[in-house]
Amino acid sequence: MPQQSNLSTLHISELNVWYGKNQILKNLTFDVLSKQVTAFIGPSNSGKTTLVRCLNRLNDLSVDFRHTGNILFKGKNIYASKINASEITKQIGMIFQKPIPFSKSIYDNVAYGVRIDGIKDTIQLDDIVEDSLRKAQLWDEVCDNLQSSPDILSNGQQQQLCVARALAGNPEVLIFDEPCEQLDATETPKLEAIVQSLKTQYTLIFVTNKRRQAARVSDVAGFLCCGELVEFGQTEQIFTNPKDKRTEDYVTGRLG
Amino acid sequence: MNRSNLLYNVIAIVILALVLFMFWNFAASTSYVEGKITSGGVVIDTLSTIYGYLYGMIPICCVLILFSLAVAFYLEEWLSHRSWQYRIIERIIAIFACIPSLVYGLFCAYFIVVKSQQISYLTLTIAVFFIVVPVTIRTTQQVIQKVDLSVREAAYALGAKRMRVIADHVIPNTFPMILTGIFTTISRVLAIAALFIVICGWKITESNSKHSFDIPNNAIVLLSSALLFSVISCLFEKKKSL
Amino acid sequence: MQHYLESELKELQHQLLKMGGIAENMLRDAIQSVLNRNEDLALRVIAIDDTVDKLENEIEARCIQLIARHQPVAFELRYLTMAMKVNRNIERLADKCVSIARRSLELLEFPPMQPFVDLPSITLIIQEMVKDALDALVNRNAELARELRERDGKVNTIYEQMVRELCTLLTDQPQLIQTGISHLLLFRHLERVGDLAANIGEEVYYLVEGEVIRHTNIPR
Ligand SMILES: Nc1ncnc2c1ncn2[C@@H]1O[C@H](COP(=O)(O)OP(=O)(O)OP(=O)(O)O)[C@@H](O)[C@H]1O
Ligand SMILES: [Mg+2]
Repeated sequence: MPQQSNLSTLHISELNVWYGKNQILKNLTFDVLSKQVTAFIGPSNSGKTTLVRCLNRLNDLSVDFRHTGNILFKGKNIYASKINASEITKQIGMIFQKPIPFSKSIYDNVAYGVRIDGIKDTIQLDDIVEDSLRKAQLWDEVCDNLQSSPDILSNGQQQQLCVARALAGNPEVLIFDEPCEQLDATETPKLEAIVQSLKTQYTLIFVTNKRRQAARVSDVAGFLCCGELVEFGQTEQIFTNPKDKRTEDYVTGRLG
Repeated sequence: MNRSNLLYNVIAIVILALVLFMFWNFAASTSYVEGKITSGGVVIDTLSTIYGYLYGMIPICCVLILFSLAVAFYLEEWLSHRSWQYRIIERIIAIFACIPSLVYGLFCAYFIVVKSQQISYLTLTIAVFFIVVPVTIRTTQQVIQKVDLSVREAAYALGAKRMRVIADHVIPNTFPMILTGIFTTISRVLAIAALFIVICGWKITESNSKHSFDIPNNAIVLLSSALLFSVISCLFEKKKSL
Repeated sequence: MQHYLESELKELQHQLLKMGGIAENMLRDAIQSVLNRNEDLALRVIAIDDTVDKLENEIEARCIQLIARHQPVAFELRYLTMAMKVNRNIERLADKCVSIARRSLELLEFPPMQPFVDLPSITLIIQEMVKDALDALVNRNAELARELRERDGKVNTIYEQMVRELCTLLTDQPQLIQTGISHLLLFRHLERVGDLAANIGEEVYYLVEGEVIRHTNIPR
């Protein structure tokens, strides 16, 4: 049973998003509670990626991105003009669909975010790198060749490396955007286990188009369809007793 | 979308035509001395003076290359790809870059040697500008565009700022390819210089029978160094793909 | 995610056994209250039932949640379906205990009847059966689970014998009809406890062997 906590880390209200003339997200309102896994499921092109990219202001990179509505992170509007986008992206880490290791050594990959903060002290860096790799359950596998290139790692391990890299920057929220898309059947449970273990310390948002995965890993789930948040609630409720016909069709596999 | 692209192409072609027209006028209006090539009124009758000019072009060439790199980075990293400024500049450069450098070479040889018979750094710079800048900008742009968007996004997601992303990811990832572009450009310039010398030498020999026509030797030196540079550029390309 | 589900299943089993333990205690107390004509014990049994009902709901919700979330297959699927049925059976067992306690309170209003010789033995057997059913679940012991059905057959025989005894008694002394009916109901409840224990055994057998033995050549 997930513990109901009143602490809402992200509060999204009446969020509308357009790319050019296309409205991608329509009037979303929900809360992301802290120390829980919030999953977003939905068919392809339903706007899941767009939604999570709004939350860490990565959409600022897209040219004709436009939005209305509020996104409050710990009570502060992240799109407020006095707030720097990179401050937000630092606190809301992201793991992408494809593992994207930088072409640097494993150590430098993990230390990347920390070095941006200007921490140069080797002892401190070593500590952070080890700690992050342990949290991503990769330390035992790479502790002997921290200086080698991430190319030696498998796809799943590279994704774990990306998790470690995101963790090193000490974010509060961690967004996973279909992180298992390119992993094979044995690597997926491992990543899911990592997500479970991170739940105690971080607020997690998990986007997936595999409904079973969402059912396994999440505490709270939202079903997005064509840019609308059709249903948002406790995962058991979504998967055992969905209120909306479309959710029912989706979770039973009749839709998308 | 298609119609606006067409519009930008048309505008670019008009600008190109204007530039060529001005170049033509400029070259045609310079002084004309029968049978001699002059440099600011001083008659050039030996090839070594021309070599002097060509060597003098080396620093200018470097500056132009740096300038093109800067322009390419500015276009790709700072200017919004949807803005009309970006689109028009991008179109113009694309069209200029498509024109074979031989055309520029022949143009400048024709105007300087055959038509005006006057040589100056300004005319040479203009010629080299057209040979170097569009191609370098174009190749650099393409290389920068090849940098995976996902890598940039991953860096941004870790809180990196734009300069940091460029320094950490764009430049290291594109450096070998940019070098390739630079070396290819240099080799083009050298080839054009060889052509230039052949034409000048032929002209000088024609007007002054005291000189024997030994230009091909020098031209071959230039041509072979052009070849050398293209080979070097290929090496870099290989290094990138490895 | 196997690992994660495994720990969830462990926790589920823990809850099931907790509930089973409560039911076992209830059965013991109910039987003692009958044998010793003890009112307090009977009242205690009736009071505890609420806890069991709550536990049942909790376990059921948990099972449904686990099935919805993990969509288990193979052993895990068998485990969860078994858990749901065992859960239901334990709850009914607890209900039977309450019924026994009620009969025990009823009987207190009448003077004691002559003791039934078989009553102590049937209560012993059913208590043993409930204990063994839970043991079989803990140890995944298919043999023990299957054997419960045979013991249930024995319970049924004793029950029929007791009913016959009660019949003869009542033909002789028709004035005892009221307490006689209470006794009849009591025996029926005791016999049902044996059935429920055997049901649990069948579910455990299915869990371990993956084979349904319900309704197959029931020993009578
Ligand atoms: N940068 C962009 N510019 C314009 N349109 C975009 C952009 N990014 C996404 N879109 C459009 O927004 C819609 C939603 O896309 P999005 O990537 O959010 O879907 P998704 O739910 O993540 O799908 P998937 O499961 O395939 O990842 C799509 O129709 C897509 O074409
Ligand atoms: Mg997506």
